[in-house]
Amino acid sequence: MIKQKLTKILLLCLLLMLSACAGRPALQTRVTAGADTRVCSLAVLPFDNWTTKPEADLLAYRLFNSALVSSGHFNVVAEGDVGLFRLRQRLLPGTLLHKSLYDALADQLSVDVVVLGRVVEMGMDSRRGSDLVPFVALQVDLHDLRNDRLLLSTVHQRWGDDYRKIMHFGLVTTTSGVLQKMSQEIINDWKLKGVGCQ
Amino acid sequence: MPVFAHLHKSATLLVALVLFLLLSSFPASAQKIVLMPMADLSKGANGVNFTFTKAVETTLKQLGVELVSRNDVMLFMAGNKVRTYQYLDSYLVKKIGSEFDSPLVLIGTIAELDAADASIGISFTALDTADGNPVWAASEATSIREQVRALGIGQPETSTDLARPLLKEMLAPLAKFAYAAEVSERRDYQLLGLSLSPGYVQGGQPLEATLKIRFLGQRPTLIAAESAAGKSYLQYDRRSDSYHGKWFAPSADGSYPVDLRIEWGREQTVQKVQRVASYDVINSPPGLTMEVKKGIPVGQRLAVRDHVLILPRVADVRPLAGWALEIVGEQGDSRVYEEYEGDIPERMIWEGRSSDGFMMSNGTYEVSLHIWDLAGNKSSASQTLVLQASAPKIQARITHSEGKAFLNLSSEGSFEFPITAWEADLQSLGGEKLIKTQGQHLPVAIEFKPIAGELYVQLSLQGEDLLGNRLQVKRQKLPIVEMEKTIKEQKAESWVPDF
Repeated sequence: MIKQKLTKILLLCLLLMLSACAGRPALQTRVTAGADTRVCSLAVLPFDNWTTKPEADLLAYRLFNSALVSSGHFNVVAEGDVGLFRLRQRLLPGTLLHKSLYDALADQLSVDVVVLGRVVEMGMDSRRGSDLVPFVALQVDLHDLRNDRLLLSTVHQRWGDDYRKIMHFGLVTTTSGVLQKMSQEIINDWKLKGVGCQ
Repeated sequence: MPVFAHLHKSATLLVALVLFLLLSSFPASAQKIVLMPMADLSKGANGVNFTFTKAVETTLKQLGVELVSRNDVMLFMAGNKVRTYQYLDSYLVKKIGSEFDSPLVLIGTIAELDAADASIGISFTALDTADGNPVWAASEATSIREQVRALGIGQPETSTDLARPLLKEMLAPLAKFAYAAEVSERRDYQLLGLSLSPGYVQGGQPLEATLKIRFLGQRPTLIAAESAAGKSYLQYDRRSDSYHGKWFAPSADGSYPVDLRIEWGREQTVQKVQRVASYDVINSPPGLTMEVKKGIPVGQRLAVRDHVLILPRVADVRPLAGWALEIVGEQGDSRVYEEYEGDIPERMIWEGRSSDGFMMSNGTYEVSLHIWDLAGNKSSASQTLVLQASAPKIQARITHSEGKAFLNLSSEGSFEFPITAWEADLQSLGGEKLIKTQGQHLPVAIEFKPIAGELYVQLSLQGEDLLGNRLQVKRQKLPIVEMEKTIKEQKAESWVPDF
């Protein structure tokens, strides 16, 4: 009887230890309940820069935009069209948009949603005692212009050595490399959640 | 001769066949693409890297892609004020396509370039000149640490060593894309706006239109603005680089959309752009009534003691061009005229002051409100108000008649509503009560017995008019005997320093 109980306790301890090893998933996407995930055309607004790296926003913006275009999943509005819209409306990066601006954006650029991004962290770190590896944390939201509601919100964080397979193979040592992979992961996650022009 | 001729014919056919086979063995010629200078984020947000641009040009040429010359691209950028790709909009992309007869515009960004660490990150986007939208994109990044070779054979050492294979790998799919791309023949334009002046108009009044539009190629033969009023051709003004036209608004009320009709070429192919702008015809006045609250109704009149609340009511909700408040005196003299642009406020408070902020004298005034809409239709409303912001003054005098003394009280000055209640307290200078009485009407004469030998008495007086304005006088000295006032010249006994 005691042996049986001891075995159960040991199994429970093992389960708890293993579940702790699993860790937190790096990518989390929350889709608004009842949101219309059919998205054909989108515009990417300039990313907000929460880091101390001066060009982090532009770097993330260009690479995410590029990943969206190469995914072939969406019709992406040209960066210049978004830039001119912002210029006409006198909008700085990170400016909170209100309904009338979203309406104007939808009218003038003929898009279903806008991508609002934020570079939360970007830098180099040696978190596992090895060489310096880049790390990036992003938050990317999709705002639905058809009903002026948030469609989904994605938070993603990666280190370059997250992609290491064995020895140095797979290790990503550049910030743009991490950003490129993260962008693809985010877009793939959106696809899995049914976001796209099906 | 016939044998020779036959031989000659056969040789010609053979040469033609060989030439055909030779030509067919070459791939179909790619369209010229436009490579914009590479943006370099490692040099800042507006950085450009011409060395790297050259490397991309070389790679593209090796892949068999024909490019528009860099000088021509730079001239275009200078001519169209393209400084960063953040403002390279679809119109400019179409314009590039039209100017260089090119189906694709390739913009590239060096996302990361670290010579010390030998790392590089590149991103490319190809824009279709047919619609200006991105159609192809690729991003890659690598560093020496990622390119470790066995025994160090062929190990890249610099970022240039990294770039060459990376560019080839990235741009190879673009080469296929460039072969497949076609230049579309389009008559494209960028509509900057059609402004109508005025946007609100009365029926039959003239309307002026100004059209700002850019064309990629030749200008159209004719441009007309079409609405319910008919078709009106617009004239091109070279100085302002815009089109202008004028027509008369239709007589019936309503909102009229304006379409653009663009007529191209000799065959007058018509292209229509619908609902570019609109104008409204309004013939009826907006309708205005005025409600005055907090006034005191006295018979048929409305009196003001302290302030009144003026509530304008516009019958027909529409954008107003302006409004005015006017206050005119009994003699027709304008005491207040204030004019403002925009909508009339929902409520206003008038405290009996004129435009200069001073209290206006008691009297009857006509308060008028005027509004006019954007089409010029006017409405007015007015209300007569009787202003009495202070109680009428009371004049007090001591008179003597047949050996008796009288206190005479009477109203003085201009007033609309008389004193309706008063209370008088007359005392000797020593404090002895001579009169203490009250009444409702003035004038009045009250007899009293003065104290012998005293030349003055003191009067305290309270009064209230019909509107509730109060008057209070405390211990006013009144001469019992009528005398002339003399002012003696007073000399200062000493100089007091001024400070």
